[in-house]
Amino acid sequence: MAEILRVENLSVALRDGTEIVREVDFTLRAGEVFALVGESGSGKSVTALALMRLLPAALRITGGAVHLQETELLSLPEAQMQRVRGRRMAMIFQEPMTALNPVMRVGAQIAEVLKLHLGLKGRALRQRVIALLDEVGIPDPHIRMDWYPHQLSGGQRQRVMIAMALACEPEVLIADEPTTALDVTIQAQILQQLKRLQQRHGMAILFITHDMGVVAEIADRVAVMYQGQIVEQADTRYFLTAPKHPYTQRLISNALPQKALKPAPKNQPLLQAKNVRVWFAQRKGLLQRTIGHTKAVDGVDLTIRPGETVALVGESGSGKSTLGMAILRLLALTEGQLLFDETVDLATLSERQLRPLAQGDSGDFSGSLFGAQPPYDHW
Amino acid sequence: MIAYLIRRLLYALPILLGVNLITFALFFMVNTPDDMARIHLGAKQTTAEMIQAWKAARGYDKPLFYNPAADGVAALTDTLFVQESLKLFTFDFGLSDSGRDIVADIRQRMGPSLALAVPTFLLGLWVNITLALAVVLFRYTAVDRMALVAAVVMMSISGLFYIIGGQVLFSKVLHWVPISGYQPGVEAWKFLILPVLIGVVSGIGSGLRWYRTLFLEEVNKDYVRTARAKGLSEWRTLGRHVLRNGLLPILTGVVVVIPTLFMGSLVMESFFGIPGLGSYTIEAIQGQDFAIVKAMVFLGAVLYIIGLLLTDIAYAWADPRVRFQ
Repeated sequence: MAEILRVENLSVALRDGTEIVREVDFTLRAGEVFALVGESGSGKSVTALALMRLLPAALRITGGAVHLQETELLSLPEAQMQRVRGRRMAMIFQEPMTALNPVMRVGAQIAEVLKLHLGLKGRALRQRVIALLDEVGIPDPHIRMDWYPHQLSGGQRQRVMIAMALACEPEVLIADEPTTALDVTIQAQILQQLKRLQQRHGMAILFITHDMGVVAEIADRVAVMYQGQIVEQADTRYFLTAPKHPYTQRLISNALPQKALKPAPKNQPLLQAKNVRVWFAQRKGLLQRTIGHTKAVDGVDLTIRPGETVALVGESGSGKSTLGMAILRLLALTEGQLLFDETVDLATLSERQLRPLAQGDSGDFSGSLFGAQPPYDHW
Repeated sequence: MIAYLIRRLLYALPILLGVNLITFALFFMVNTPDDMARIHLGAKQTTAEMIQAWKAARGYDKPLFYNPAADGVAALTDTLFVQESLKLFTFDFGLSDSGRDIVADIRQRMGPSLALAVPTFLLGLWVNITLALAVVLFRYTAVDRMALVAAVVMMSISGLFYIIGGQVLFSKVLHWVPISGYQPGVEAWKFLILPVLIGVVSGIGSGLRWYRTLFLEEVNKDYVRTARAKGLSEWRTLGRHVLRNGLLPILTGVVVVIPTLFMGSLVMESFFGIPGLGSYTIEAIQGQDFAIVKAMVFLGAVLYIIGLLLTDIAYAWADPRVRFQ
């Protein structure tokens, strides 16, 4: 297949000379998904930003070349680079919650790219925006295009970002951990969407992730970054089944479940939450009368034993964090008991009485509670 | 939103009552009705009867907050405070202590005040925002540092220096504009251009620093990176994306002063001899004309409360996240 993007000896350093990315080499071919994997801090995102020449002020490119077809990007004047960004090479980011301008309608944010690069106007522009939103799976696009980002869910915002990136049919799409911040169910949908769009438009995707499950699902080829260098490059199936570099082997074995599940301990519970309700009043009108309640947590029982780790699993918005905060008494309980050590009801203690417990003076405060999204691994 | 606004207006009543209480207490801590009567009646032979009559005609013969001579509730209501402050709530400002119609005075003097304050405000805002955006374009470079030093220097110079320095340079030395005074109508610009310019220039230091900080905070956010990734130039990114978001905190500080523009500037109007409401208030304080002082303080408080309300409305208008709540 034809080479679209060739990165040669790319190096990025801090102003003081500390190298963040060291002589990175890879190529992207038309119609493939190339995954750049590695732990956080390994230099994958910096590499991606360097390709777009969007590095933060503290970093600079110290060497190498980036060829997008015939164009060498690192030596382009900034004004010409602006014509590459968003048109020939587009990027989507990790945080859909903050990556969109909060005071601009999502349709207008997509339209901005189309106006800038393709000079679309009026009716044609509007039609194209609606078509793009429809293509990325936003329902009722002619209505939602006038919505603001905060009115959309995280997954929908990421879809808007994708629509924005696809607007000018770029040759290369750089996706920097596009699904990391999303619920796993939404994550799978977005990945399938990206894969479908990629096949339809035939662009090359540089996919940055630390999630081996995502790699298995979407990537054709993989490069592993470790401490600023690419330590291994391979086709995905060889990579997952027969990794060569020791770091890659560790990376893949860590992604698998480590140990057999052990039975839950049977000793006395340390914390027993009984029938916990956290309701928020909905108020309305001049006198702020309560007209109803948002039932964030509604009658939950939970037991934690000493030394035990309890995982609380659910989609975002399901009430996990609210329950956690209520147990710590950071939120007021509407109803319920919080039996600590079988004797003290945390729900009835005053602020002052809670203080010694919060400082850990009670001795055995060793149970812990984790909030997590379902399921941890899905490959 | 409507219910919210009504609730806020109801909160305004106790605030205004408190403002009146403090105004009355402070004024009569410094001045006595007898002194006021003597000043207004002049230095000529003033008899105790004349003073008594002057006070009685204006209600100053009553005790301030508590009247031991009256019975029951009247001990609290038949007082200077209740009699004189409640009228203010109906915007019945009455006559000044020297017998002028205060509402008519305000009508006549608000023109010059607005003619000075509005251009100063708008031009100042535009200059400060433009300069701040330009400085942010050159952020972390020598240009940025020099602009910051200049802003601190400009902030450190007293406002009076700008006024006197400007008057000396443009009026005494260059003779471009009259040093002070006012003339209604088209000719007014000659008298206004210098105070407006001085008002704008003296505000650049603090304005530039403040807006630069706000824009710098925005410029590193994710959505700005998205805008650059779309291929927008840096200036367009600043003008389209950073400016709109940076304006939100600016609104808080700016909208609140819009109604009070109408009150005029005490210092500028006094120095440039502009017959607006600022100089009106200063003259009333100097002349111990309590009727005017209490009316102007009350009006200022009302306008400030309106400013706060407008701020909320402006915020809801400018920030969709607030609007849809």
